[in-house]
Amino acid sequence: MKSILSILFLGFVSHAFAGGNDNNYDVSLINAALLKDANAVKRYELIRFEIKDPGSAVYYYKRAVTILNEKGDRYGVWSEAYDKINNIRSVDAILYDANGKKVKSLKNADIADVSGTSEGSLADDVRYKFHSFHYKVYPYTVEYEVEFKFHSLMFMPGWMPVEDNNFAVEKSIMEVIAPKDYTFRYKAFQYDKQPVITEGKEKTYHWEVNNIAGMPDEYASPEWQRITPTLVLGATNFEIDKYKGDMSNWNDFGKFIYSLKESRDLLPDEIKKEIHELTDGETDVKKKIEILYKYLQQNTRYISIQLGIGGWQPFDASYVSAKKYGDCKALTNFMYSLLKEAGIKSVYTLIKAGRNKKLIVQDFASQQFNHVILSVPLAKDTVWLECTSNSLPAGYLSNFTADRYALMVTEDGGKLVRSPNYKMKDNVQSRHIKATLDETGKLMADVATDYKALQQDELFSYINAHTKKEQLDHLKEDIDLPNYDITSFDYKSTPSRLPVLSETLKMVAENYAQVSGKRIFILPNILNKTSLQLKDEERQYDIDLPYEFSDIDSVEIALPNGYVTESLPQPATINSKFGAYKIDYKVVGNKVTMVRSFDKKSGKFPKADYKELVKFYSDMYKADRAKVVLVKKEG
Amino acid sequence: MKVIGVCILIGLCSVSFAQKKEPKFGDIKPEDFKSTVYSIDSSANAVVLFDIGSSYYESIQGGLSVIFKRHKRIRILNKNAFDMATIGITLYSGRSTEERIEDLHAATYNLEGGQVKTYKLDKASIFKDQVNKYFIVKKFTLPNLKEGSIIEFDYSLNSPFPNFIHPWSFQGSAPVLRSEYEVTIPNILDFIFNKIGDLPLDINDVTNGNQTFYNKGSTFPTSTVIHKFGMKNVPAIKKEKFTTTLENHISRINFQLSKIDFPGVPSQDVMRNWYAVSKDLLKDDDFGADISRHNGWLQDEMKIVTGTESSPLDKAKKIFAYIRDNMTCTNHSSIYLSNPIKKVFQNKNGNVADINLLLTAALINQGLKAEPVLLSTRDNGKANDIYPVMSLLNYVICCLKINDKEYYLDASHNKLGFGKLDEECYNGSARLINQDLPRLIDLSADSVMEYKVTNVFFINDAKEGFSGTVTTKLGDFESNHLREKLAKESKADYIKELKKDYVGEIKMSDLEIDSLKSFEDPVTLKYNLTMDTKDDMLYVDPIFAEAYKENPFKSAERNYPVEMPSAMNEVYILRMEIPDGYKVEEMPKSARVNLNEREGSFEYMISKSDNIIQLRSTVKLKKANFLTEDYQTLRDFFAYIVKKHSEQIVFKNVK
Repeated sequence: MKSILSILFLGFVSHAFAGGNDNNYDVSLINAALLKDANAVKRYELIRFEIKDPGSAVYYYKRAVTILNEKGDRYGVWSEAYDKINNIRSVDAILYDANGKKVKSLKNADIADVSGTSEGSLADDVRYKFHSFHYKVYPYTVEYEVEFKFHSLMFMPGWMPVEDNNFAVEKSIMEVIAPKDYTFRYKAFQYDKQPVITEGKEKTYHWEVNNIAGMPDEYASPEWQRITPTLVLGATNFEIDKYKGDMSNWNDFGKFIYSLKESRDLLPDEIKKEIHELTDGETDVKKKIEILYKYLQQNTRYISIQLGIGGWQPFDASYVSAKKYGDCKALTNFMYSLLKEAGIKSVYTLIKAGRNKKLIVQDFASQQFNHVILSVPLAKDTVWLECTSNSLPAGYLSNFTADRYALMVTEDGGKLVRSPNYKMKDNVQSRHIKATLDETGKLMADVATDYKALQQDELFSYINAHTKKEQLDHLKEDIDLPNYDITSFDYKSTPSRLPVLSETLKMVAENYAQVSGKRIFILPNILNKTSLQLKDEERQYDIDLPYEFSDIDSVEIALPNGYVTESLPQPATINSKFGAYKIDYKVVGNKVTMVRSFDKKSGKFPKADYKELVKFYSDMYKADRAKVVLVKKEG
Repeated sequence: MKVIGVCILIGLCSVSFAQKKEPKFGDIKPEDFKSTVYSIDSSANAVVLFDIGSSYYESIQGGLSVIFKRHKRIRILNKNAFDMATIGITLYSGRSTEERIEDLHAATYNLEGGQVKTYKLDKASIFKDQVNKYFIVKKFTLPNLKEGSIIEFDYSLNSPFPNFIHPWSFQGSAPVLRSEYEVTIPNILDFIFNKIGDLPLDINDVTNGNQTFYNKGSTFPTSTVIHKFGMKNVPAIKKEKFTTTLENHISRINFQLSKIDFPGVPSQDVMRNWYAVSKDLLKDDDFGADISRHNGWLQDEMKIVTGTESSPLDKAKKIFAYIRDNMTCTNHSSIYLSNPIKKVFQNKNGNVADINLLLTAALINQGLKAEPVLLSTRDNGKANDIYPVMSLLNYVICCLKINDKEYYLDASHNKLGFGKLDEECYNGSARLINQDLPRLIDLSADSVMEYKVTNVFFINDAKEGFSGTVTTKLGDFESNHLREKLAKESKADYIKELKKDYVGEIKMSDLEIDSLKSFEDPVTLKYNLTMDTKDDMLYVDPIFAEAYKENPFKSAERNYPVEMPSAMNEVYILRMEIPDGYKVEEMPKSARVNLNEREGSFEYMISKSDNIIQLRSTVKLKKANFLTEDYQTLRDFFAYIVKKHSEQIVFKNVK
């Protein structure tokens, strides 16, 4: 214990001497408590961000990680993206064995340098450098020392010492060095101290953590910032390319973004003419928006081009008019221009897109976004438009952008707003199955399902991207039944702000019911069985359940003649803070029916509730799979 | 990396080349937009109207260049095909030589008010992406694209590598109405053509021509052979399960230089035969030159590894394990060394050729008889069994011979046991690199049997109640998959996954996994089961988790042959006491079916004597590859197994 304390002290003392670790990566020096449940241990990390002026900085880090097993291999591989604004100046690396003895060091020729342009992108500046020692005699340690030159303060690095689950940290230090007359901003999470500030020629800020054990990988765990130390940095005034901006607050940051897109809304005359032909006869503003959104969807397509400041500045509306394509910025700006010509004011809106990528540090203005959409504020409400989609209905945002903070950008500056949130009673899946079973166990079923709002997202985008034939092939393989065929199917979409997708299927499942001698075993819950089962173990973190929805199922199966019920499952009702579940079976005449409902709540719950959550899903798992047993009538 | 060097010393320069009658760029008429559905595939998102290419030779300063021309026209039917309007052309761009694109044109055509309107690609919208040190991609997307647009592009690719003729795919993600490729080869060069895929050629013509090449003022008239290949109405490629690789089924043609015959220079046999190639490979610095050298540096290291071991087999096992455990494979696709083997040994990493040639050298160094073997892995497609087409091979293993017994070794996978190969290696035949007898080695999937045995015992235990144990010995491939899986995820996650098979009255516990680290042995799983016996009726699925719950062959249609990784034999044995207080009310009947007479069989034998039920289920496939025509039978066979495996034993309470 004493030795750990002294390491801890040393860490604090040595901070003034950058990189002052003694490079002793002998694995036997690691505190046993850190090894438990860890696949890798960060031995030492120093991140130093040295601000020179609003348009330049040096970003340096030295990071040594001991890889304990194969699961930890990925932390030993180095990879960084760079572009023209932030480029890599130097990379050094050393590989150590378990005793901390140097095995070899990196040679520049071993660093791979590849394009970062993805399949979906036509052109951008992003490239990647990566390197691996390809070593597998465990444990081993890799140390990388890297320096970047930043030609802008628009993006400042953050600090997140714990990089993943089952990843322990011995020591990690974050330092920011800034000229005395430059103010930058910071916000720390799960870090209860203030940074140590020292003043010399410049001002140095120092954060540090020591001895953090590996964290378990838990179902529905809270966002990283709520469970482990992190730090975010932001500039005040900054420069990028030849543009100047300020991000001290959302309003100023919004002004900067607006300055990039200002006066890029000129449309050619023939398009102006088209707009008036399309909308002048219409008086309802919402109808006008729908007409023009449809026009956008039918005439343009998404093509990603991000070069230099073009990563932040939209192409002119005239460019999109000529080429009929653009990225999210260009298409949003084009739609903005169409609406403007029709006399409707709309707002260019930055957002962080992606499923489950909702976290925006709301009281900390900085570049936290990766996408642009358009919002149209009307007297009573706001219409939201995703301008890169050829198929979404006007006014509906999918789980790609729903329910999160977004930055509306106008000439007056930026304003943080919340995008629409779809609730349990919006995200409904209701299904009715009417089926007939014969003596061989063959089931013939008509399945009618309505998917609404977020429940239709995945299927909606699938059917919009695939042919009828592909949809059929997919249906024939993707349903979780042992042996079946789809004889016909249809999809009908009802576009609205809460879109509904209706699916009808005719299905034949040979041997659906198990026929064993004189008995038939039927699983009445044909298509909606929960698959989630949780590990029954001690919980370390609170529970954060995203996404709420409601499922309603009813099934009616006509039975073959001459059978009686031998066993009927018990009805089950589970009411918990996580939701309500109910399933009930009945036999009436020659029909067995099942009614099931599941209302799944979202929200944050204390870790003490975990046992109940495990039980909730395990009871549901069992109840969903209960069987009806029929037996042939004697004689 | 190794390029077969063909040194063409004479500078040549070509005369004009006669053009054939082909569709003209931009020749689009309103009636071209008439069809909205094409009979070849009514559900297609796009149809390639034609794709026409040619390759021919020209003289350049210091040698020959190959010109590859392509002209392609596509009808875009709906927005799902918009991706096809973004085109990337990959070019080799080395330090001293590079491929160049010349005369690139592209345009979109839309029918507007009965008129064809043309939107040309502007040159400023062509982007260059430096993918890595060797390749660049020229990328562009077509403007003004709409549903119903016709797009078109043509270009000429100038390559300074005369031994490489651009391959040609007749088939792609959209159906193709007409695909033609014309290759003109001067008689000074000879190529072998590999046609891949199941579709036949509609055009396969050979004509003769003449071409004169120039060099420093002197002329070299030579005859040429003009090959024309073509297909009509080629369906789109479709992915299917149980195919080795889709690559084997995409209809295409590629070319391998076999002979160079310049006037006044002795003819050079490039392709040759396996005897000559083996001899050269074993002398080649990039392959075998190192393995039979004295390698004194290995001597000391290997002495430490083998210690006092005297039996050749045990010695070999130690060397194998040492190389496997200390070298990391960075690339599982290579037949040439990236470094001399001494360097590989020092670096402790290398590609599959590096590692297995080092292994071969180490075995030889210790007085054992070891030889390299070349093959093509399953995902790399089929190799050529007759000609030494090196470009089709991508993998090296080692053949060790002790007392007339052969062992195939692969030290490039860190969880493979001595004498075991990864399933990727079972792809037909491999070639032993031996200059006296370079024979084929059978590594067909049909030749490997994946054998799995499960034993389940259920008893009335005084303490635990009605409970049992399950012991499953996995096959070699499945053992390996599990080893890989458990290296990446936790045992707790795996237990959670297993538990999903035990619902309701039955619970599993106490999972033990044996031989996870002893790679020579199959992995064995052991766990316990307990069952609640309270109800009046007790329904038991007698095959538990081992039952085929769904048909592996789900799709009703099949386009390609079925290619599984191995033959199989799965045995399940149950011995179950009748639970106390119950009697058998009903149980399944025994059954037996054969697949195509002798290609496979399913046996389900069940019997009851006194208070014991015994069940034995055997699913056997004697081969791994089945014809497309056999698909339905195979599917029915498994459907029957699924049905039989779902049958239950019913116990009735008689207390």
